[in-house]
Amino acid sequence: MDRYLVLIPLLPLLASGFNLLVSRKYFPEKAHIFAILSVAGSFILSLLVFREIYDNEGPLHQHLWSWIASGRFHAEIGLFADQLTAVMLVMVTFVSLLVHIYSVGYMHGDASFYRFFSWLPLFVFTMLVLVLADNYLLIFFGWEGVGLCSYLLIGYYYKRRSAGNAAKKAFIVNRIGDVGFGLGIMLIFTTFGTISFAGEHGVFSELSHGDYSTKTLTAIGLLLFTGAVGKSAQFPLHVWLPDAMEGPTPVSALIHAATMVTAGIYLVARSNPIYMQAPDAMMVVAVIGAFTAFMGATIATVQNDIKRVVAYSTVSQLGYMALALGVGAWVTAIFHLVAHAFFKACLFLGSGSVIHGMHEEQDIQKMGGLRKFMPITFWTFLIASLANAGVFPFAGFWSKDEIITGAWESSIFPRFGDLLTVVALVTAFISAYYMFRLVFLTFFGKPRFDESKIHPHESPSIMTLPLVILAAVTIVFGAVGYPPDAGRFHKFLEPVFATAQHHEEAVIAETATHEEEAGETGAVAEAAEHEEGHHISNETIITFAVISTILALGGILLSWLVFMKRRIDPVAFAVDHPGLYNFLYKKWYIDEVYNAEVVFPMRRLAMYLWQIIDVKVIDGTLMGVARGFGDLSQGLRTLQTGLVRNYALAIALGMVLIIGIYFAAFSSLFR
Amino acid sequence: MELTANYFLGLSAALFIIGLMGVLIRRNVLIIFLCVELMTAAVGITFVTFSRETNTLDGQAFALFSIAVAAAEAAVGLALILAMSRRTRSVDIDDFRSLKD
Amino acid sequence: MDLLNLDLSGPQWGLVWPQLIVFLLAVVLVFADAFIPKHRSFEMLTGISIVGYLLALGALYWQHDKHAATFQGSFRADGLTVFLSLIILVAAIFSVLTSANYLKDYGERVPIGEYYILLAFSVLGALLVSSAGDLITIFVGIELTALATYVLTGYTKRNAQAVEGALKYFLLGIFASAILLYGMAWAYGLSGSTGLDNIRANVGAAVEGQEWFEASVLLALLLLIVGLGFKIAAVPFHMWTPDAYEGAPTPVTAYMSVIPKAAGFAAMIRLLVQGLGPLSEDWRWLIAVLAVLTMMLGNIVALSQRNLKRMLAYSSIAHTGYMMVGLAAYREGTGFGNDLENIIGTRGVSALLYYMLAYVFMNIGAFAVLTWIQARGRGVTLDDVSGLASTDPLPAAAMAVFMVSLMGIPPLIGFYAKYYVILAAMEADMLWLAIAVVLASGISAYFYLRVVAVMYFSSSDVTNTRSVRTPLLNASIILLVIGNLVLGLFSAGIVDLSEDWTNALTVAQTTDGADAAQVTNP
Repeated sequence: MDRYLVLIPLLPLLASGFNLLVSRKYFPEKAHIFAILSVAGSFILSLLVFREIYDNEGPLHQHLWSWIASGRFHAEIGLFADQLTAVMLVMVTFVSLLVHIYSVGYMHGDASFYRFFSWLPLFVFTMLVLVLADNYLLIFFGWEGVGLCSYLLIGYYYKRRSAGNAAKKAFIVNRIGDVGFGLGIMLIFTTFGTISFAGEHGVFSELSHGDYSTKTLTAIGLLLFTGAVGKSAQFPLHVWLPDAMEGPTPVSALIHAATMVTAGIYLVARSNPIYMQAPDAMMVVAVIGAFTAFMGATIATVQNDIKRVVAYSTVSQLGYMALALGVGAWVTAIFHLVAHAFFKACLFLGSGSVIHGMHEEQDIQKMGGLRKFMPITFWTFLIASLANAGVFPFAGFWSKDEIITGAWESSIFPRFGDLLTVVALVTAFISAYYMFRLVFLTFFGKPRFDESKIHPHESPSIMTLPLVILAAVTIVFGAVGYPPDAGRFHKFLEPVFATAQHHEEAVIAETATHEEEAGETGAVAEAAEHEEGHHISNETIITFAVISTILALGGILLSWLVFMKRRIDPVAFAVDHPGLYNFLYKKWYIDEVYNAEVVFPMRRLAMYLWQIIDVKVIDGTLMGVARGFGDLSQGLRTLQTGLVRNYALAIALGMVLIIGIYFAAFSSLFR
Repeated sequence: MELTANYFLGLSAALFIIGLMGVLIRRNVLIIFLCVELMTAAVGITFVTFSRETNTLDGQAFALFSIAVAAAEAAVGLALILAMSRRTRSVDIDDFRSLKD
Repeated sequence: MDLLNLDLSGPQWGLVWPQLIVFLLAVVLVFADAFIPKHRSFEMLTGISIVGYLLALGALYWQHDKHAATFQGSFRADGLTVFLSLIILVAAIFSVLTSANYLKDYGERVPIGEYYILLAFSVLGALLVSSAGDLITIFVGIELTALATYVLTGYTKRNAQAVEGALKYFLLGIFASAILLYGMAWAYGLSGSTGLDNIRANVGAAVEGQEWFEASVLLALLLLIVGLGFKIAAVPFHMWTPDAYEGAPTPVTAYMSVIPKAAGFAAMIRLLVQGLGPLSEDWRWLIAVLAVLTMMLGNIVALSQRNLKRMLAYSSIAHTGYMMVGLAAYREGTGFGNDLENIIGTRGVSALLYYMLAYVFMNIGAFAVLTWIQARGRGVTLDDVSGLASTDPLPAAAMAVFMVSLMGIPPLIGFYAKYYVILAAMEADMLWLAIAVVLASGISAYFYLRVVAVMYFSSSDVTNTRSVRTPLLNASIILLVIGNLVLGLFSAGIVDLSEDWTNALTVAQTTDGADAAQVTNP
């Protein structure tokens, strides 16, 4: 199977190229066929890879070729698939396939249908390269590739000004993170002498043999996480994600919910051996994750654009994943990543279906009562919402619950864990609230739109089929994670993080001894004992399961009271508390702060640089140099007289000069 | 006076330089061409001299090859000169300067 | 050396297949031209040419692991032969594809057969040089390439400019050949043999002590560099280039910017590295200085050109400079007063070879697009490509790719080529040379990007274009674009390959006279 690994990314690439070059001219209406077939092929191959890894437990490795070889620096093109890759592969290709199918209905009649179906497989290609890469440079290639495709697809409706701006914003904000990632790769190379992580001489095996300073590893971890902050929309670089909703809805579902935004999470999880030796870096990851989760959830409570609510919910859920990574619950992070991919894709596709049925209306205040008009969309949306809210027994419940217990049990920074747990619990409550606010406002109550003008209708079956499949997966997916922390999913992924666990224990032991010296023997010994065998006690699990279920139901209840029973008037509340409302509605004023603190001064600086430094100093110099070269060029031109005699003279003179100089300088004849 | 190889080498160098100066000074295309042929022939003398001097045959073979190549050059060169002088009615090299900067 | 030590055992024909196939191709073309009826000749001759070159390419596969020599060591089938032949044959195929439509367009007015015959002989000459193990082979090969190219340059003999370009090229070419020949005569005289391996052995052994000998060696070396400097268009021996490039029909320009130059570099590698390698400390400074002069002058004068063919001519001079850097980075053994134990810069030669491969794809591509534009009745000045992107987006995009690749921007092949050359210069402790390459590239950005800017940001004022179908030319442009995009990704493999092969070249020495002596691969 390892010989066919390359086919997985190659198929979508071929489809993309084919659509761009051939379909565009000869059958632009049929472009989707090639795209869907190629992604389906990748999906089947991914399943085969998954099965092989499941059976053999050994990673697959395919070395393709050497890219640049110069001295110590070797850039290889190689593919690597272990358990983590296998999970990502299946998830990416599965969601991609469904989104491709869905898009056939959603993009039907679009003027540049083929363009959409050239870029979407191209995205799948780059995403698969990212997941399959066996070294950081190739990950970076995929990383930039998905960024580029995301840019192209956000700006798909390029005639709309806001879409162009959103695309630019996404690109620029991501660039900030990418710089960090790039620096991280360089630091990895200078530290380990290699950029490949897998294999015998890879970073991870070097790490387990050699002794590397914690400071360097922390720096690497933070730099890599900077990249993840950009790509996975963590605070403070999350601002691009809600704006990215300007793209077509299937794109939002695929790129900005299920796959690309999880690349940062994947990167950190992939680098877990580095992080396990850099506890400070992990703490940063956890804190930023928890904060992002909380902030995203609060903003989502007051937004009115259906896609923006879901987008902020994505930001919040990505924060959960980062929190899980930060507290060392690696498997849980991936578990939540996959579960989230399914229910969030379902939510986005569902909102796409709503928008489609409502004739491009996105404001939930102008919806209501859609339950009757689009039953399939409603039921699937409801299931996904329950999952997002973390209600038993849907996929989101299990993973979110594990994150909360993970934070509670987190041993790396004992005192901090409690605070993080509280934040996570509060966020769970808010999540349930905003999710059901969305559901109630959209599907329940009386229609708030002009029924004479708008006739909502259910989407065609090519769009509802992916919804149903995703909803079904959302229902059953939780089962692979049962029992919590020891489910099939965890067993499968364990080998990837085995070294991590090992180090974690070492770190605990170390902290334990340190603190023992400090004299706090009792409490710490208890904590260390707790960690032994890595099983969280059943009481803890059940306690937190009960707490989070109560909180989720409480959130739903509050939402029901507010929006169904109208016990509390949200408008009156907003009027009474204008500060809070505006704070949330304006998304914590983060964009405004950026404008005032970053964009505006930068523009002033840029104006200054432009008008003074650039125009006067640099341009002046450059123009001078350019004019100098121009004059030189004109001068040298006159040598080219067109006369053979002069040309021959140049040859002869050159010969005489060379021979003369050489004889004078080197030969002993003239000495 | 003993006739050593140096005399032959000197002769060939002189001929080579005469040909070279001819190329630089003369304006008639045919003369320039002949001057280059003179240079090639001068090199032939060097080859034969060295062949004699080192007691090997390679140089003589090379001299023969250079004569053959010179003949081929003559064929190509005369054809080009003919084609050119038909266009311009001139064999003055300085008249051919429509291509320049 | 015994006068009568003649080895009469037969040559190993099996080693010579690729070269033999091209020779047979030329012969077949002569007969086919005579017997195929006129109205069929275009398709048939084009087909025969392409098939012939492809067969030769295929035959290289059987040559690639031989590392042997035959014809008393004057023909070598070593790694360098194979790599250079590969470059030359690929360039030949693209030349045929590029010129086919041009020829057809000229119709009855020019003899199509002769074009392909001359092309085949010229390619054969270049192949001979690249497989040469002997001064005679090098000289004959160089002259065969050059003579055929002179005629091709003046191929449209009713066009006064073409004939003028050809005549200038010819007169200066034979002048330089005479100088080259004189250098060869001295090289022979010093070692008593025309075999490169013997020259290497004798020069290395006999250098010490004799003043007379030392001066003669230098004379031979410098004359050879001057003669070959003309062939590769190094400053100050470059002056024929712009005139000949501008005068020649554009497909011929595409051809002559690549294959005779490849032959020149092949001869340089054979002569300087294989034959006079022990003197590398003497010649590499000259090569380095000439390289800087060449790239600077080429790029600077190109700045003020409005005729794209002339501009590309100067750009090709500049690229000669970059390639010479690879050669200058070669260091080995003991020169005068130097005592270097090991060869330091074999990477230099492999960088040069990779650059040459890249150059084939970049330069033929640029000229192919010019041919495409000319086929539609436009000229080749900057004004003629103005606004090309709006009228013909695909050729404009292709041209942009070639320009950016020539400039050396990743991820195109031109970037990798420059990268390896710069790396080689740095490894040979010639940082100033590496800096010169970067500076020269900086200057070149201006005129390459100007073409792109004019194509994309100026409005088109050309309206009266003809619509013609040019399938072969289009195919060639597409293949060249793909080559530019993709070959860089495999650069490590290609460079490693050429490095292995050039290592074999410098270390290996066939024993004199013994036929098909096995060359040891280190």
